[in-house]
Amino acid sequence: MSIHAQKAKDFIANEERTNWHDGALWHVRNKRDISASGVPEWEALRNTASQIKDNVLSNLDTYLIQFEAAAKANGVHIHWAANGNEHNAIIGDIIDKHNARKIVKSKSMLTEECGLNHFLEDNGIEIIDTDLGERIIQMRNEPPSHIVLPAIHIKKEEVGELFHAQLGTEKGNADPTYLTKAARTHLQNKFFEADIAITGVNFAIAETGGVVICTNEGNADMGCHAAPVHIHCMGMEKILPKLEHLGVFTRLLARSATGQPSTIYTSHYHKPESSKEMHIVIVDNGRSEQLAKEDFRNSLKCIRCGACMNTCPIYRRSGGHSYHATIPGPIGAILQPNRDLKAYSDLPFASTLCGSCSDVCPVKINIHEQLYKWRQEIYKNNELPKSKVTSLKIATKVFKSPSTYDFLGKFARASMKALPRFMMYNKFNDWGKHRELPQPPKQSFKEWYKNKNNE
Amino acid sequence: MSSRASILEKIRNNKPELVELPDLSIFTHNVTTENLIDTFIEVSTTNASTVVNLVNTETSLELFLAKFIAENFGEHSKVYNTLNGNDIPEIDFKTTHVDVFVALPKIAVAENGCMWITNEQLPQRISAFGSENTLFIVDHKNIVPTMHQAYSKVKENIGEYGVFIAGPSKTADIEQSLVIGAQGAVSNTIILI
Amino acid sequence: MKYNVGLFIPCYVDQFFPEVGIATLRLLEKHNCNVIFPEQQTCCGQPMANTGMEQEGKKIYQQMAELFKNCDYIVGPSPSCVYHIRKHYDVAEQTEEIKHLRANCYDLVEFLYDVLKITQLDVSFPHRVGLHKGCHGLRGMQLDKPSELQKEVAPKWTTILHMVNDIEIADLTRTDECCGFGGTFAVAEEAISVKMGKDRVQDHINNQVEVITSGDMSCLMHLQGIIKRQKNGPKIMHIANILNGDTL
Repeated sequence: MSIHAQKAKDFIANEERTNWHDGALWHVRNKRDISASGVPEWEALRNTASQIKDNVLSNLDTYLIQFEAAAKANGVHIHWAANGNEHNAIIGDIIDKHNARKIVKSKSMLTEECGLNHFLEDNGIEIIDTDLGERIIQMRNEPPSHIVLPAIHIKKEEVGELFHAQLGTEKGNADPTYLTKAARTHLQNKFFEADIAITGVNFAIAETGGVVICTNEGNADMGCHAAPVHIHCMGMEKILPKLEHLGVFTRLLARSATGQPSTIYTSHYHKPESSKEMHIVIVDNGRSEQLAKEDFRNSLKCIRCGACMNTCPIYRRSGGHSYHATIPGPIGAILQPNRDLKAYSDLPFASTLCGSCSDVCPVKINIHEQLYKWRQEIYKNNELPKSKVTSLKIATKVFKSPSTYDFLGKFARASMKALPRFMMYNKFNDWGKHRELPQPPKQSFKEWYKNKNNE
Repeated sequence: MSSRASILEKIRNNKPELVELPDLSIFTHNVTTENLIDTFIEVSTTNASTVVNLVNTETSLELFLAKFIAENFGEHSKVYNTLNGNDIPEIDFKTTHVDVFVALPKIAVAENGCMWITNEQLPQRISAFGSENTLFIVDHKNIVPTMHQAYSKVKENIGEYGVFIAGPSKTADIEQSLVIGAQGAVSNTIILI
Repeated sequence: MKYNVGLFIPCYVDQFFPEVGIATLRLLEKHNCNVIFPEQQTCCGQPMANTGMEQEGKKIYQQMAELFKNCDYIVGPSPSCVYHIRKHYDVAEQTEEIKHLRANCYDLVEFLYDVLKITQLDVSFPHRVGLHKGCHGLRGMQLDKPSELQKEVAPKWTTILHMVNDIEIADLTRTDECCGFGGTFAVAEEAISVKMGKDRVQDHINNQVEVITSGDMSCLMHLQGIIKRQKNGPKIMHIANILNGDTL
């Protein structure tokens, strides 16, 4: 069984919890539908966003150079990281330079991708995630299970116990308002103690050299404005050409993510506040290789809204951790194989190719088509399980020969009728564990057709 | 070779043929400007802001504001008021509890309740986030239909720092239960003039 | 004008659900088509291709195309297989036969709606029916409006089904969620596949559905397997049988 299939099976073993998880995410998907239907030009916005990203990917080097020049002119320090290690080392150097010991970080999938937290913790630096969901999973020592709703897999009672143990909240109190207030107090202290604040980047503007960060909690701004130094880590594909393009993306992002008309805070950082320091780290980490792959490059358009996860019938029932990857869900299943085809060869198969992910994607990434294409790559690279290969090679031979097909079909139907139930429904028959096989008919369509014409 | 040079070289080698930028004018042509105020009020209310509509009333803003703040945040509340320019004594937000931040956003957006403030109204950037409550005076003439019109106004002066604020801070990170008041302000009031 | 229609019967329909093939044939004949059934057909190659073995499946594509080269249209009771031919036969050498097949291959309901443009059906089905909108037909071919999209899409399935007299079509809570069949997914990810199927069945039960219908027998085979095992749930009937006037 593949890793995803095994983890999904384990998740589903608790059916009540699976239903709860599925319901919570379906609710978010519904909110997205309602929100999108309130914008008559929704599909035009998606088309336009997709085209803007096409332009960006086709002119990325020029935009990055333009961005760097504008940001430098604003007094911002720009760094380039070819990979995750270099990204972490750059941040380590800034920390050393400032003798920093305490860091606050707002949500950033990029720093997850680079393993920044572990790197800093190993170097004796305190790093506190300040998004509530991120803080919860950090306390639990777990990776996020969703890119927008990192703690969606955790129940409020579990948060109650966690906060009781770590923040000293009342035992047994699982009221979300009470727990959120406790986290607020805890985090307010952390903001003002921090030497450096780190954030991710939603958009970067080539024309102005600024970065845009979107949150609902206000944690990115609290961090950056309270600390003397702020660092913004961005995947290099986050560039937009001009300020006006934000009009398109800000209209799509929150509506796709949570169904809100906008995130509460959309912050545009162009210069540091007087006496403060602002850094931007531009990260490649495999993106330039991905850019070369014609069939897969447009996965770089992703704006990390999470809509594909909320709509995915598999994700909702298997949980984010079943994808054993930084980015889970449908988008993760097409991004991760770029990094390591062997390690993630199960992910493109964690899908029925239903196509709902592509329909909700605000930048129109053809996710389900890429899943199909990754499957072909996986076979070409000999990473398909042997059992699948053998049986489908035999099937191909059968289908190539109509007479063999007719004969074997008849044989199979006869056997299904003749075999006793215990032989049909055994442990080798995955279909039959929780499903009946169809009743074999007396004759196939072809046999019926022949008889009809002979009558 | 530096990482900068190697990254840029890889991009040059790997990028596809140039694709033109699309035309954005479809989003600004024939946009209705009807009901902007009503839409703004409705969306802002959904975003958990309290909206007071003083448009078409004779009420003096100054008097109303003083009374409103006293009634809602206390007679002796600490106010960070940026309405009369940004010459405000610096406050240590770490040690000082500020009850309410007051500002007049230059742009407000009907479709999503976003209100634009920049460093010009933020002598200390943290003031809009570290204050317990926020209060925005919105001139109804500053309401635009969508983010497209908003950004064409933002373009005139992007500033050093600017933020669209659409309500009080919030989170739904615990079991998707909406809680107002996360790490930023715990309430937001909009007074429409 | 009388069309020469090549009848395309997917392999699993041929072997397990001949009644669906029979209804398709009769329905087309009723609507004045000259139906040809090339008996040499086997499978469209989708099971291999969806598992990543397109390179193997491809070996069947030309053989499929050759069989139907003289037909005006090729019609089958399966959006999923038709979608595969249209969309994924792009990797085969684009011979005249392949091009002809891809351009003229239709799902049965789509053919009734788009080509024959039928406006009424002289049949009755006095039951409360839940329409399972299979994903390839829904999102791949847009035979109805996918719930995610914010644009007008002609509701072909629903329109045709409404032509049946005395039918009652139930509203579902999740109008178009995947049933979890997904070809080899059904066994490779057995746990999820079954859970998805159970949830779909429950939605139909909750909405008092008497018969679940669909354009794809593969989805129905999966749902039927679950219903039979749990001994609870609606009956199953392919849309071709309803449109042909077959009784329950």
